[in-house]
Amino acid sequence: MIQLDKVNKSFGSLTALREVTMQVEDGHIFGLVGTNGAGKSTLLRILAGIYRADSGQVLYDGAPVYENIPVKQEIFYISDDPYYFLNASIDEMKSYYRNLYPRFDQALYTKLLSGLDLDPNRKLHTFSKGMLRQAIIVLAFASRSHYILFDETFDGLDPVMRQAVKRLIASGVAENELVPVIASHNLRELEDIADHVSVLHRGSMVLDMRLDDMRADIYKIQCAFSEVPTPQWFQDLDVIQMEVRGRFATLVVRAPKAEILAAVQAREPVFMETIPLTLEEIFIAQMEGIGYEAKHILL
Amino acid sequence: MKQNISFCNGRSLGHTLRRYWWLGFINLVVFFFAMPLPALVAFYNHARNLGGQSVILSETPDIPWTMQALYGYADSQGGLVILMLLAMGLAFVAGLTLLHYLHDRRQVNFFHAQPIRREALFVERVLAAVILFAAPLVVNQLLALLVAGLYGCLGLVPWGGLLAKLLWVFVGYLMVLSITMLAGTLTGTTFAQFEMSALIGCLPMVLWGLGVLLMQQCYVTYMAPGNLLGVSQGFTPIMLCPPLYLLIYGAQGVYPPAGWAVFFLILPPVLLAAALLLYRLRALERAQSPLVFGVSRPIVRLSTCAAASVAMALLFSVMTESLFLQILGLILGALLCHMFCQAQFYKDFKAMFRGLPSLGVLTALILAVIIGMNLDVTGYDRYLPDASAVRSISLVQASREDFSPLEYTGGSMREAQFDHLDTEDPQVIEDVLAFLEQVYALADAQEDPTAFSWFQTRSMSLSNVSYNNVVINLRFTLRNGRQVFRRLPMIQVPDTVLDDLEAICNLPAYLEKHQAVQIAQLEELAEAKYTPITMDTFLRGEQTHTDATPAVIQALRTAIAMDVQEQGVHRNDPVVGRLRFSAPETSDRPDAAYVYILEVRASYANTLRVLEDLGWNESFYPQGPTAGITALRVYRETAGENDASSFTSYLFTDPLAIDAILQAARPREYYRYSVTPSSYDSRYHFIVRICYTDGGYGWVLEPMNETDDGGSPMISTSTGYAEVDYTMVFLSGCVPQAVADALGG
Repeated sequence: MIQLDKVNKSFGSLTALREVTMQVEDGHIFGLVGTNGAGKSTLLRILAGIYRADSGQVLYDGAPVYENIPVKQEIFYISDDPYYFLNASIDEMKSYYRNLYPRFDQALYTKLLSGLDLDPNRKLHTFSKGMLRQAIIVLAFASRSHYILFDETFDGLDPVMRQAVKRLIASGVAENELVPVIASHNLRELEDIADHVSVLHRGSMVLDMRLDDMRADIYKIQCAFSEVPTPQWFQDLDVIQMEVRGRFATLVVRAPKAEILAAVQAREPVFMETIPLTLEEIFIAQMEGIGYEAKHILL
Repeated sequence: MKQNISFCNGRSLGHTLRRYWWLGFINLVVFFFAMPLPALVAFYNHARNLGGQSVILSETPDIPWTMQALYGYADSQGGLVILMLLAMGLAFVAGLTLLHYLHDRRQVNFFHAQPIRREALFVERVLAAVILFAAPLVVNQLLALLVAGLYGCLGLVPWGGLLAKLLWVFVGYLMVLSITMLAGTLTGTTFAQFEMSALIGCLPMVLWGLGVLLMQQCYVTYMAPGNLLGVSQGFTPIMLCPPLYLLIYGAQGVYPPAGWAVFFLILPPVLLAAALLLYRLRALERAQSPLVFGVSRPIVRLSTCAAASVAMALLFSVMTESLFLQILGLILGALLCHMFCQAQFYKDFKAMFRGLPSLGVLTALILAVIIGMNLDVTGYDRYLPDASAVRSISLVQASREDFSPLEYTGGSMREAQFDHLDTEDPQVIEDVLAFLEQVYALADAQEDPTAFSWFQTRSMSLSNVSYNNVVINLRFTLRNGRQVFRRLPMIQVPDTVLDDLEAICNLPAYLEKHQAVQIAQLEELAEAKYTPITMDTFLRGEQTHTDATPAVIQALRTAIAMDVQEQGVHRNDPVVGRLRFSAPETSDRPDAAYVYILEVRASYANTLRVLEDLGWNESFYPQGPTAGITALRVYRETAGENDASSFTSYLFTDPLAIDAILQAARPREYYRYSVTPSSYDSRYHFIVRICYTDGGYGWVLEPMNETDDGGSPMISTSTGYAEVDYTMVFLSGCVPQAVADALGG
């Protein structure tokens, strides 16, 4: 389990992280969302033990990460701009990592390389951006680290490969107790994989919730009426969003489903349907619920 | 999760060594060209010069010298300097390369995300740098030894000197490496690391040098304890750049004093420990910022600005006497340096104009200090210690040559005055101080500033000082042990002032006594030590070589011992400097055939070898009518003004003419006789100079031998002489006019 408690980090006069508190529990896939410059990469580097927090605590199972080798042997950090040695091949990088990660899994390494059709002896500088990402992901999984920190890792991967990586992550969580922390500026990337999401905005954590909790009691209703609906019709409900087009209305409501349906039925709709919410819509709803202009925070 | 702290990860070190194998390869190649290859060439040439003779190479006279040059610490050919320079250059490259990752954000993120402690990362880099240097060095040294072994000379290897050489080269490498690595941890870019290395290495020397120059510029009576590069005159490695100091020891082939040797051994680990500490404190996110520690910015900026402003002000003061321009130079130096620093710090040219208030304060302070020094607000130039506090006083007149018999016999007594005086006599001290007070008072009261003033002497070169432009150097040794140095230049001093000083110090009597001692010593040297070694008896063959050689060797040993004493080098040092005993140019005994100049410019071992040649080698001087000489070029030297000479040459190929010339020269006494043997190209290559200067004429005879292929005679030129710049011994005597006449002058 990763615990961050009131972590602050500044670069000169620029405050990158402000009083960030969060918790990443085992068995969860943790998504970290924020716009460019929100502090995601800084947070991940602090989580990776690269940067030292100005104040606050970063604990892995109760132990600090900074300059703590046993803890860092359980962490693999995939940078948004991965570095590899000059003229190195994947195999040469593997030999480096194998020296540092005691549980490095050679069999898994071979299997993943073969699965992704990557040549272990080919020089990395001849790889495309996507292939480089694949190579580093292979090394990360083969290291058998308990925690893998992904920084914008899906960038540059084609859709097929994204799904493959997501499956890898899911199986890692299921089979090897992997705890992935995925930072992305794109909420849609995390929608089908993360089960706990935090939102960083200008260095502050503005939202930190499990996805199931978010989804609970938020519904999107599409309905049509014989006359033009007004907001007053649903003033007893906690309507987060209401869009009216003629006699057609779309509502996002936070309330038990039965209560919502009863309230809509009372207006005798011509047509009524409950449709699933995207993660983005849930976020917008949540963010606006706590007073943020979500469209400025999320893409 | 408990962790064990480790300062080195062996497997990671192995990986680093593999990654930077090319550094080791470069070292290997560089040292190959500097160590085994020259050895191979030298031994090959020696073997070739033997020309198939049944002589064992290791028993030839040149070999000990060669072994010393190739393998020993003292290398008369400057090889140690080359090795040291190479080592320092390679250390610089290694330091920049191995810490490059700290200056690149991608690499910082990569390496520090790995489960390796910073200490281990750093120590691993240092170890890699050491291994990648030491291994090629040792391998090449072994190869060089193998070469010696192949030629049967392994037994002549100077093992102590070899180990000292390797150790010293290694210390030089570590010194530069530690400075570069310390600079690397302070900076965030490779360029800044480059600059910071220079700053750490040279800033103390630069500041010290500028301080001395400033003192000299502002205080007339300031006397530096030595010149700027006078490391032998009391500078310390702390004040100078330590690598430079190491290099100087290498250049001189002289072992450093034990204290400084320990200092040099300790300093690199201390610097590396400081670098490690800074690495631990370093904020990794500051990669690509020129200076990682914010606190160092104003220190670096203001100290370099101060140095630049003073340097520019001094430069302007050399170019112009205008005070306005000097102040302008000061401001300009500070401003330009400030702008350069700011643009680098912020990577923004607009930032050049930030921080100007602090620069203004700094400039004003420097200006105030310089003006204060010029106005002598502290009374430095007028300082005289209290007579009761002075234990002894020393006066040295620095505007002329030091006292010598030459001046005594060739010049007047007047010219030898004010030469040197040391006294502890309280009365004399009191009188001298009273006199100096009068001098100061006179200077203050003078109406004509050029009549008696030290302020006019600032730009005056000492070489232009005439009799009336006297510079007196003063040294007060106080009772508390402190020494006070002052320089007192005086222009157009009234005779009465000098007479007063003479009277006070009783200098004539002192000098008479001093001169008598000097003359006695010289006579003793000339008669007792060098009389047996006469050119006359040597060349006539009246004295057997076996008798003469030990005497010469003994004389040289005495000379070297004295040289050691004078130069302050270690008595076991095989390299000696230069020793010259001068006798009066106009001797009252022109027919005396004693040697009066003995000049040694070689390694001790080599000098002995040359002298053995003088005594034992029959082919050294031509024996018989031609002695294999097929041509003889005679130079007639005409002395002109200011020692300018012109030469007219005559080439003689007739054996009878050659014989006649040689016979004419042989039995007579020589004014000068120099020998230039070459150990490589020509067994007979040497130059005999027979010069006669009385009347302004001189002769140079150059015996030649046939070329190796038996072709036309090889005529050496003065260029060829310079190429074999190998002159070891000058033995000089007096020549009668008849010799010059006999040679057709």
